Amino acid sequence: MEDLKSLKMAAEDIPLAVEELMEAHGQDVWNYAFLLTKQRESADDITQEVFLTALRKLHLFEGRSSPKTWLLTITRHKAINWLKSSFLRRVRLFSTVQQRELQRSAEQEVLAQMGIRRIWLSVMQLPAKLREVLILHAHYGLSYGDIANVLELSIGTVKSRLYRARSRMELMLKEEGDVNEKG
Amino acid sequence: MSMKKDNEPAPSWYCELEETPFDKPQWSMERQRELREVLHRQHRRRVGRRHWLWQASVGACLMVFMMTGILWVAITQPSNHSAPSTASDVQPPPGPNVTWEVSPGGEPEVGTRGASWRILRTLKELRGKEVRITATHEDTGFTFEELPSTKIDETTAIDLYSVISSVSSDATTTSSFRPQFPTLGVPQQDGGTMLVSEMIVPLPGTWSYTLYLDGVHQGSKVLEIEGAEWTPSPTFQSGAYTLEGVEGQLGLLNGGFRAGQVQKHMWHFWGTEQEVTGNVDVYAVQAGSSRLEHILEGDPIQPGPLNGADATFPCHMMIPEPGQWTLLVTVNDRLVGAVPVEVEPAEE
Repeated sequence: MEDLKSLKMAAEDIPLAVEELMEAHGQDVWNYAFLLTKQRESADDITQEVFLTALRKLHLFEGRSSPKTWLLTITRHKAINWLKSSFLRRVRLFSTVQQRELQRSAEQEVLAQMGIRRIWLSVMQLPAKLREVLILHAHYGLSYGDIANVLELSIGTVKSRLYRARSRMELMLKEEGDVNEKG
Repeated sequence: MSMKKDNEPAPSWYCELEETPFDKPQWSMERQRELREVLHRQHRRRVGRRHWLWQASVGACLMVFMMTGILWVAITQPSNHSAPSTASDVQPPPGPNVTWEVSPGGEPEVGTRGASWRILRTLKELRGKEVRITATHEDTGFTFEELPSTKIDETTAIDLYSVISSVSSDATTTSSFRPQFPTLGVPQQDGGTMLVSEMIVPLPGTWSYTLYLDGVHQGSKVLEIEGAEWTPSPTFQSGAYTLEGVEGQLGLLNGGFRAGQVQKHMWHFWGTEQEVTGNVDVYAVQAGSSRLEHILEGDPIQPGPLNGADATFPCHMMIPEPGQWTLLVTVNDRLVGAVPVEVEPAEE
């Protein structure tokens, strides 16, 4: 499946190929959409859009990256669009800024209910820019080059963001450890 | 994981991140089934449409073929009661068919220049035609309506033939439109139909102006505008606020720009009811580069006096990079003005 030559096929086979992609990477796409948008519904919608886009664009896929990287790139674009429009919706609905603390605890609550692993709670607290680079590297196992492609950044920027993400994580984990020791 | 990272010692918690974030898969089976159905439905629809399109195009080709045959028979058959059709009856393809020139006012610098446009045809010949002029900045591709589609008549255009003949040899009649730098286009000659436009030139560089008559391209003229240093916008007082921009035309209540961050701002417009009704677009051009960002797309405004302006428009805007930028604002694709802004670096 990772070999994209198998995806160059007749039109009638395309839905099957997309279905194969869905089986292989659907959960990855959903998780990535969720990790970026922090919302279950948006992750559902984005995942659906990603595979519909894949259906339309499969014939344009040139195999320069792996199918997974390609799907993650589409996912990211959709997630960014979603974030942009949802930001504007939120700002227009509530002219005053929501209380950050309140928002955060509600978010943590939802994540806990979803059975998110402890380490990921810390990841979700990272600023989006650092979070996405860490996720692509540590979780999806992409190379610096692939991350740079997905994020449309230089490799240097990817490395420096990754470094900052790690330092923040170390700091957070240390603080958490301190709290646990005291408790 | 087959594609593992470039060599780097990983901290212990890193390995934990390789595992899935959740105890159990979160993308539900139900949503997966739903997606499968949608995929197949969409695919069938696409293939069906392609099939239909193909049939339709084959049908259309056949029709054209048959019509050509009928026409050919009709033309070649000798006929007693009608003159034979010949190629000379066929209208020439639409193309430039008028000569025109433009005389920009003032110095060739950024700012509001004002311009007169002279089409070398009498007003009588042009009356009722729709004239439209577009301006395009060649470096950035930014295009706006220099003169939105306007019907030519006595209220919108001046007949220079009648002006000149009525004052005989007194050439000073047209002196108020006399260009300060050379006229672009045809050699000076008297007469023609003249139109005027505001000619706001918001950026230095090469501008090309294209004139259309009834939608038909009549050629372009190129204008070089000298480069000027980016300078911060002038400010002026309106109502209780200090605005940036062009007094009596366009004002920005600047909420502060920070690179990559969406911030709230408010635009103020002055003009007739018609001028302040329509769709607002905002473009940002980075100083000294050809980078153009379309930062606000076609949001509607209506007249509504506020803060001393005839219309206001609160919005959210984001400029991607720090530095000096110029915001270009159009209403219904007509340029209202340009406001230089300074964008602060992103907050870390």
